[in-house]
Amino acid sequence: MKSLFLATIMALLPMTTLAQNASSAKVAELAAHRVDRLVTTGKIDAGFAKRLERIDVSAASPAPAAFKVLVSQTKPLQGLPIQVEMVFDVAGKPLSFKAIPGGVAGADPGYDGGKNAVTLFENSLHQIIDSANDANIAPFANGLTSVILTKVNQDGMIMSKAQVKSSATPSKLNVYLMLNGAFMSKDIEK
Amino acid sequence: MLIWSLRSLVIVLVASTMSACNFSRLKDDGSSNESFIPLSTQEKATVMNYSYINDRILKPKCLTCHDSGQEVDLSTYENIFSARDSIHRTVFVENSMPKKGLLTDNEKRLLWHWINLGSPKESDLGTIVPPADILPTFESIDRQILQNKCVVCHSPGESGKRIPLDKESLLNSPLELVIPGNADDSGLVIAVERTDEKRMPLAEEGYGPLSDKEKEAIRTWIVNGAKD
Repeated sequence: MKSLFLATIMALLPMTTLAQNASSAKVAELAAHRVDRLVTTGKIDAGFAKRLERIDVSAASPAPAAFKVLVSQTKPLQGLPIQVEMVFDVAGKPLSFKAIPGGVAGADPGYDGGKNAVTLFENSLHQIIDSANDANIAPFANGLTSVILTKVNQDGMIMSKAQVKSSATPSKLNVYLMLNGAFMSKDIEK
Repeated sequence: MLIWSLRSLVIVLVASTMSACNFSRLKDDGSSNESFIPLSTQEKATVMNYSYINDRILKPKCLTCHDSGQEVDLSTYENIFSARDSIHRTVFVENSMPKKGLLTDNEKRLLWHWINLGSPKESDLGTIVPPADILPTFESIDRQILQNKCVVCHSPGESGKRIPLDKESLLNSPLELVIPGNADDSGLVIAVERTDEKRMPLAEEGYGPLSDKEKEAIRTWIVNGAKD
C-alpha cells in the first residue's frame, strides 16, 4: 500500500511541474504580450506595435533564466532592424529586457484591418497553444524557435501569415489570419 | 494510516475535479432545461435591447440566411418579436439554428435572457441601481467590477478564457497582471486605463470603460500591496 501511495504521488509530481512550465510557443506568446506592455508604457520603441516581424526563442541560463527571446521589427533597407532582447523564467515570467542598440526602422507592413502586428502575433500563437494536444501541432508548440509575420495575398484575400519553425521538426507551420485578427486556416509546409 | 492518506488523496483529487467542473457556464435553476448564468445589473441595463442583440448576434449569425426577402425574414424588430418563440425553440430546444456558424456560449446566454425578458426593444434602465462605494479590497473589486463587467468574457470557453481573474491567477500570472506595490506596471491597471482598442472591458464587445472610481479602487488596492 505504501508503494502504491508513493507511486501515486510520484506520478502526480511531474504533472504539477509540467503545468507550471511554459512551452516555447507560450513563451513566444507571452513575449508578444510583453512587447505590447512595454510599448504601452513607453519603455520600448512604439514602432513595435505596427512593425513587429519576428520572434526568436532560445534557451537561456543560468537559472532563473530559462528562455531568451529576441523580438525584431521589419528589416530596414540598410543596417539592423530595431530589436529588443527579453529573458523569461521557466514559467514564462519576464525577468528582464534590453533594447539592442543601433537598430533602424523598417517599412510599415500596413496591417490595416483594425489589429496591429503585435495582436496578430498573439492571435496566431493562440491557435498553436490551443492545439498543442494535436500531434501535428505539438512539435511546433513545444519546440518553437521562431515566428515570422508577413502580409500575404491568398486567393485575392489579404491576410497575415505567421510562419513557425521548430527545433523538433524540419517542417514549418503556417497560421493565416484575417487582418481583423480572425483565424482563417493553418497548414504544415513539408 | 497509509490507507487513510490514500483515501484523502483520492477525495482531494475528486473534489478538485468536481470543483473545476463547477466553472460550467450553465446553471440549472429549474426554470428551464437550459438556463444560463443570470445577467448582471450592468448587462440588464446595457445589452438587453434589440440594438445590441441585433448587432452582436442576429446580424452576424442569423441574417445571412434570414434577411429581408427570405422565406423567414428576421430583418426587423417586429419580425424578430413575432418569431421569438420560434427562435427560442430552434436555438435552445431543437438546436437546429443557426445553421451557419455557431453561437458562442455567451451569445446563447444573452439571446436566451433577451427572449426570456420578452425581447425588449430598449434596455430597462430602471434596473440600474446606484453602486455602493467601491473599496480598494479584492472582495469589493471582485464583487463590484470583475464579476459585473469582466468574468462574462474571462470564463472557460469564452474569449477571455486565457486570463482568469481570481485573486490567485491575478497575483501569479506570467502576464504580471498584479504586481503588489507597483500599479503602473501591473497589467490589470494598464488594461483598464489604456485608451486604444485593447482597453478592457473591450469596446468591440459593447462595453464602456470603467469609471474613474473603479479604476482608482484597482490602482489603490495594488499600491497598498494587493493583500486584502
